[in-house]
Amino acid sequence: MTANQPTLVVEGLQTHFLTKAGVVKAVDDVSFTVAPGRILGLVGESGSGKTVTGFSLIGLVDPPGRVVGGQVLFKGEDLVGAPDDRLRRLRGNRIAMIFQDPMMTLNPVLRIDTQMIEAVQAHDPKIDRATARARARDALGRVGIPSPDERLKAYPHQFSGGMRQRVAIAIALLNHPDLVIADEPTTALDVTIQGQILYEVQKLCRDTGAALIWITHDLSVIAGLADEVCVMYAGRVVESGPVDDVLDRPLHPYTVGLIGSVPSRNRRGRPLAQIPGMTPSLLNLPAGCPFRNRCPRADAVCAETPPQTMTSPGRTVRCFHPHGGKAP
Amino acid sequence: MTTAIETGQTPEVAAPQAGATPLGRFVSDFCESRVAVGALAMLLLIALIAIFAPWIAPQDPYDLRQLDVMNGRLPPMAQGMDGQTFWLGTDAQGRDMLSGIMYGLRTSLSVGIGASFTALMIGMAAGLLAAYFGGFVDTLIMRIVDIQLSFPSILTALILLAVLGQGIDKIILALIAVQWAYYARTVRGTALVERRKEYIEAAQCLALSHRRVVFKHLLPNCLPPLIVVNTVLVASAIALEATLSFLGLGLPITKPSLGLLIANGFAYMLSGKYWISFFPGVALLITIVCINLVGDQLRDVLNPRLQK
Amino acid sequence: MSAAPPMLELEHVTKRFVRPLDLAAKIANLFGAGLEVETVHAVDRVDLAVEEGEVVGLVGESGCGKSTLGRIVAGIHQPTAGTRRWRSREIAALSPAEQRDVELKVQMIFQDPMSSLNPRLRVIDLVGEAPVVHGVVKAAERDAYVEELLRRVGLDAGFKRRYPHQFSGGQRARIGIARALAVKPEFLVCDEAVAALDVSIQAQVLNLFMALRQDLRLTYLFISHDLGVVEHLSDRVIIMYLGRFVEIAPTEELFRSANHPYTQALLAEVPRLEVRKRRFEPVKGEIPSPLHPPPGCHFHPRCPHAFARCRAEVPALKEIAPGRWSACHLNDAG
Repeated sequence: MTANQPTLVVEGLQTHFLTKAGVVKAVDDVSFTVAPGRILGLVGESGSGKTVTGFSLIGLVDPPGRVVGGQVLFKGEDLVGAPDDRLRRLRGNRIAMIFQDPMMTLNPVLRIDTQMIEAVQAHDPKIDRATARARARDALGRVGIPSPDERLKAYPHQFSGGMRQRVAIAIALLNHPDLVIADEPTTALDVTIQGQILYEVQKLCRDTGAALIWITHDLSVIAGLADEVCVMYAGRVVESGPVDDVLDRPLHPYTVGLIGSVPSRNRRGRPLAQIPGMTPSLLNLPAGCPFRNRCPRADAVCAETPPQTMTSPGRTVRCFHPHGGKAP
Repeated sequence: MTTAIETGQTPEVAAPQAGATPLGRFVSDFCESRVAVGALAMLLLIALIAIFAPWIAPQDPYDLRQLDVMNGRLPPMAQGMDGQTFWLGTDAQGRDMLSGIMYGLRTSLSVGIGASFTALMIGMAAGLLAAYFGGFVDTLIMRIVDIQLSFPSILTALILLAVLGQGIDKIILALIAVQWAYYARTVRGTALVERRKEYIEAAQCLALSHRRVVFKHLLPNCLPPLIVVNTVLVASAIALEATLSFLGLGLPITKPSLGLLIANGFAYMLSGKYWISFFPGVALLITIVCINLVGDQLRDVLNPRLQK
Repeated sequence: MSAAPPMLELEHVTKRFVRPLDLAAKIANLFGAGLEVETVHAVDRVDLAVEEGEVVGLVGESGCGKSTLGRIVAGIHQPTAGTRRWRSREIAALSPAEQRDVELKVQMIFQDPMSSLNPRLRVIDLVGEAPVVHGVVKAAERDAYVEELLRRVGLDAGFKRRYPHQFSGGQRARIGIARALAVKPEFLVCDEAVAALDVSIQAQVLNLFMALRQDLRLTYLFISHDLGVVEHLSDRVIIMYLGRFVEIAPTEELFRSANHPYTQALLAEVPRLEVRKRRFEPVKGEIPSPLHPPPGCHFHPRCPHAFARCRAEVPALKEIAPGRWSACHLNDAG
């Protein structure tokens, strides 16, 4: 294991849901890499498969969903098909997850210190309560919660939404994980609170060297936070690369459309550039490129599934007619 | 963790979808449980037996001319004086148990279902009014409900019957009095949640009358938990009526229900003539279990829908 | 400045939500427990005037009272104090029939596409109920009317027999718009109408709003927390914090040079596509609970420029330049 080994390498990940109405390919051949200390943004709208991807990485997909193919190499170890026991030892320890709703992490009937001490001792039974408590206190301080000693004795309902999310982040970072997966943690929060959380998260990743995957639908957040970005559509990665490159010189027509729809990119008072139609149902995907029916550049060739091509190191696109790398 | 799956269509297409009505979806979800479907089929059979009892029962057990006391206390499968087979035996007066059960089901079901549905209507109206208007109306209705619910149902029924006397209408009245409060409370809870939803605000914004908002918008969306509670309470009404009849306070002898049949045979249990109580008891048991199974599946089907 | 009176006015409107003491608390008070009634000043002495044809954006974070204010404008909530005027006539003083006419003229588009449509009604009933009840259209003409409305909001007319659950979020938003348009309103209050939609669908719906404004000559109160959307759509922007207006300005001026410290903080915090690898420097402190607002200026605990007067005195909303208003003591200095 070299020092420069990427923390996470995902190769051809596939997660299918076997529903009454048919097979839903929620994640269809997704690949990306995250290096230590780097922040990857996973961007997509609803139905793009970004959340399912996040859950698939650590085996949190419940039936009728199943990871049916691909590899998830965490520091060289494949997590797909790993025994439950191994995954449980990794979760909350080496790999942490932050959810959109902090109440998915916090137990409403337990005090904060109880929950945090439990999280520490679950992965290292030898640590005594006092040490665990001290670690919890430090974690709360690090995420910017004032008077952590008093806050430890409180219950989740005594916190505001933003505070709860910060506690959830503190719990995620308690055991100094190597990888943090954050699924839309600030979507439900106000702008000023979101700003605080982004600040804390950014600082912590820099300080601890953890790799971060930030799942969101908000391109602007990724612009300010991430190093690399993967744009997802209908379960596939349609474009990926360094943030500056993807946002300033987008290749895939969907990315171009997405960037164009943001109000700040349009002249005030004029109609917004819009992508016509809507995301196809995953039960009813058109053959070939899923974006075909909405794409201004589509033609007969797009009836075949476009392969993922690498246009330059670290820069991929899945399209037969990508933009020429010029700004839209 | 489930994900939301988009089911939109492009604006140009408007093809109809099969099973797309809320009712269609509900039926297909319900049928996913074979046990529940089986229980429902059993209930339909029981209902049919009850409805057609006068035509399919071998004997009219209340027609005294058809009875012969010499046929009394015969075990199942015994032959009677006129050569007929008593499949489930006879009771002390020579009544065919099978016919008795069929007629008894008829009475039990009609009393149970009738009382339950009337209680539902009353309770639903009370709960809706309490939730929609709030304030004093809510407090008043709910305090009455609380008082009602704090009495054991048997006690309430006994007191009412002691005051009102016997008779099929008095029984139904007692059952209604016992049950309406459950419906009221259930409806009020759901209505309070629904009332906060934006579609009710939209209806108010559109200046629709209170009556229209309550009955056309609020009420239909409060039905799902009511349906679940209703199935359970029908079973409970049937059981309560059986209990009252067993205690001798229920229906008169001329219209025996399953409870009365069980009561009649109770004295003979220890002397080995089990069939007089046993078979009506089994019939009652099957009916109530099937109702509960159907109710369970209904609750499961309707709940995730509510959470969505 | 037009000579015509404003279309809709709110004067000193206040909305208080009070949780009354129950019997147990009243008894406790008899013994000297000193329990107080909990009051939330959701909207605190607000003045608003919207001219015909303009789009006013109302921006604020959670707990600021913008949704409550929107509902007061739309007539869903009644104000605890203050007057509401439609074309200079006080609404509360009108006859019930006139009041109803005014209520129909002000309609609301709601935030949550899921819960804002009655799941048990078909689209034809959802959209067609109110216009028939109020006589806008005869029952026999209802179907054709609804079809026309659906087409206008970009939906296929054949959708009218479907149920809400068969549509996507964006389509449901359009149905909500069709429902509001069915009673021929003149004023639309959009309460976070696009917040729950994906970016690409959001663009479509915003374009629809702009087209409707043009075609039907509508006036909007556009409530949102998303500054980018508000900047694109509005003529004027109002910033609200904890029940009070803190700044009002024409859109371009507000975004170019915000006056109030809260507006400045808000603008600084909004993530923008062009700003890469930023160092976030957040506003410190939490948004206070509306139950216990800070004394004086509500923003002073989080304001980098706060001084003694801010804690003691509520800053008045003053006109600091033509058409620009701000509620900050810093404007008085010097």
